Amino acid sequence: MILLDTNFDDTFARYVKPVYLYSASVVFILLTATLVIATFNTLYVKKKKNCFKKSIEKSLEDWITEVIINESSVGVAIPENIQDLFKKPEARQLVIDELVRNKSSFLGIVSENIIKLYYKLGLNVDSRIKLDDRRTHIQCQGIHELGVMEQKDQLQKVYRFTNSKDKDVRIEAQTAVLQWYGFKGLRFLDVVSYPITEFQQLKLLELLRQLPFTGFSKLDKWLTSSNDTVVSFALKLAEHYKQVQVHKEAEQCLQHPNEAVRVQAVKTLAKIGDSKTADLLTLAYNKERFTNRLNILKELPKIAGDDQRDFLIIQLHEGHEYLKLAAAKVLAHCTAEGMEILEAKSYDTPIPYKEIFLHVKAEAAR
Amino acid sequence: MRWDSLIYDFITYAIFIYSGTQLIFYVLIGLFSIGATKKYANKNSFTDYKLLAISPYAPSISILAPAYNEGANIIENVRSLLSIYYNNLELIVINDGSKDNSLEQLVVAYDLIKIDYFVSYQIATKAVRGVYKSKNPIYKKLVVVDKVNGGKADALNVGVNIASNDYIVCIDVDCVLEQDALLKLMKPFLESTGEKVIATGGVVRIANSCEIQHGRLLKVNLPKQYLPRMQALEYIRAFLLGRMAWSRLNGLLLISGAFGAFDKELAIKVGGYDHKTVGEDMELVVRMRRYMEELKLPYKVAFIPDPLCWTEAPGSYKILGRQRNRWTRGTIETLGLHKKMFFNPRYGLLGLLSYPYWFFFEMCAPGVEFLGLVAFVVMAFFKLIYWQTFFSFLAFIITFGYLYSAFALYMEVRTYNQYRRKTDIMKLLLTALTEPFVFHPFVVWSGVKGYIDKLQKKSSWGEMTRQGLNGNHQPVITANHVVVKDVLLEPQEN
Repeated sequence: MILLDTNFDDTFARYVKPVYLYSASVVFILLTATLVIATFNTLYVKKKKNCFKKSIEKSLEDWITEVIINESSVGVAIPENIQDLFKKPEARQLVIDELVRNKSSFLGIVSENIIKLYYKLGLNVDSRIKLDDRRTHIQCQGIHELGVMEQKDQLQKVYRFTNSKDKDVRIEAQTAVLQWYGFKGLRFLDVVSYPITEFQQLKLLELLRQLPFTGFSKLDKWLTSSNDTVVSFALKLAEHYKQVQVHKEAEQCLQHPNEAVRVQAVKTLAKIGDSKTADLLTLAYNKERFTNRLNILKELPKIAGDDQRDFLIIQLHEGHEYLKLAAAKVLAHCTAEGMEILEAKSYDTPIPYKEIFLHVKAEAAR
Repeated sequence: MRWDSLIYDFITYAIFIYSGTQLIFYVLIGLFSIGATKKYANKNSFTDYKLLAISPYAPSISILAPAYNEGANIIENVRSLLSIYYNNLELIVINDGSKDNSLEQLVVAYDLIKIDYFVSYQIATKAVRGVYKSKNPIYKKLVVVDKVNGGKADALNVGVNIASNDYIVCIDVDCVLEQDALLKLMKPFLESTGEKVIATGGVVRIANSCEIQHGRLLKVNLPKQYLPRMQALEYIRAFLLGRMAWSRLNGLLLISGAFGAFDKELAIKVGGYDHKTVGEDMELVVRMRRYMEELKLPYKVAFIPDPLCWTEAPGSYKILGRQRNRWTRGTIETLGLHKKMFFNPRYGLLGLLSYPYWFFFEMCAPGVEFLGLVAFVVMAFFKLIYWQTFFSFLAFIITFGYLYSAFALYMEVRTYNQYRRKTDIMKLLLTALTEPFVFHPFVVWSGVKGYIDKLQKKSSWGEMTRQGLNGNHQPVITANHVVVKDVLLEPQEN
């Protein structure tokens, strides 16, 4: 219907009739209303859940405190009010969460009592069931719970997951195995074919750091693994635990095709190297690109000496300004008369060597 | 067929196709964001971020905080940044030739002395006047650089030149960070396996009306003023839906200048921030991506849906207008600099989807909407409007906008739920109702002014004011360099 011009022909309206657009608008309004209701409902549910969680926390608080106080107690009695809670699955999950959180904060008998409690309440079954869930985040949750709660009887099942194609499942499984068996748990490195992310490596190193060192059985094998991330991780282990016996394998990693491995190899060798390592690094230097060159110059102060003076003087003249500065630092720090060489250079060619000299001098003075 | 009918049809079909395509994009963005946010939440539900803070194997980070005439809050802001818990960290504060006593205040408060420091100008910048470090070992992480004024991009480039660590985190000095913001921002760099993560960004939220003390967020409140509240809703839509969806597709073109992390080596390789554009944050991301695409290297720009950073939004139309004007110019400049990528299959998804989306629905949107309005007025004058169609079309667009806002709010409540009171959600919904009639036309008009300024090659900003996050009015700054939201409004050297 044309309101103002009766002769006007609206072809658009023939194909996209106003009624269609109005109908769509009505649908949009209905959807909007549904979303608004859902939003307020979510707010309500979240609030309710929060209250429920708080009430459980309150109930558990006294009980867990009792467990903590009765450190010598062998068994743990379940209060009736808490037994009632277990009829609801969400309450069981909240209890698991609470126990997992507490378990991470305690050691010794208290920690053991928390595990006993978890077992006694049958919560280990809940966690085990999660392993068979097809949703990977639920699987992760189950592995995490079993790992923290030291459910070693699940090793066979969890170990399979250490080489799962799902990154998150793999990470949790590797962590759990390490939590259960410490350094021996690293045996998954023998078989893992998927990458171990830097974050996971960092997590595993941190877990190991809290345990007494019991040695590595196959560090040399891991350093020659076909999985680059295993090599990288093994190099970090060698560096952190100063495993000088794998010096040769670490040296070979300087030729590794993966730059990240070579970078880590330099760091490791600077820690476990012998008298020839500095020369080895200077030889590797020319084959590297900027990142690892700078890395080598940053690590050299730990092992360099007068033998590297000629190499360092060459670097002072060549390449990038960052590399010049890094070379100057090593020269001043590790060689006799290094500072004098720099000073002479600063008079000779003030730009940029005067500033480099002053920088190094100021740093040495601090 | 009559000529007027032809014109009417052409305009109507063109606008219909444009709007329809945009709506389809919004639907897809909404759907994609659900999966991406859910995946992130599931994945990180029991991540122990503290590991990163304490581990000697964590990546080394240099935080770059440019400051211009920030004297009123500089000591507190730097203290807040120094309190970030991270082992492998340096904080570089770049005093960009402030006219106030920012530097003197820093020298006294942090016991600084000027040191001999070799600055390698790998990226060309204005001259560095001095580098300061503290005599007090407590502040050993702090480096203060004093330089000749050159704008935010230039100041950041000086920071990149000075930075001694592997990753740079660029931050607006007055932003309020969440406790573990840095850890969350860095995690994606450590999780990549096949593809190199070149930059990461996180959700920026509006801090107006929030309780903030000593640079720490104590309580989240919904902004009391209309404009900041409207922007709170706008940010939820943009960050939680838009950026999450683009991140899932690996098509993100923008990391907010307020808080983002970059691979330093790559940032240097591509030449650092471009100080000739007013959208330097977007331009750097696009250039880094273009570099990786041209070398055919696998890469990713990651985005984190967690609220990481809280910033003050403009509270007045004047400042908001200037901000949106600048955003439009920044987008035009960035897309202009990289026009080679437009529908260029060599750049994959970046050239075939991300760039065209930004071109048509971010850069051209104000122009199309404005021209649509002009056409409407002209056609109405000549009685060429089929009112039934017009009103049905209007209803269709407006109701879709409401639906999209309602969906964004639903996602917010389902996920991070920063505004927990029912009244807050109700206020946001009511604010959304006014958007098509108040806020949106103003934003369109500011964008059009951005086009005009760009055509006239204008790039100055004039006076800007900031209310301050503690509710105190900051002095009027006659800056050519002032933080308003997630960006520093730059001086233009003409």
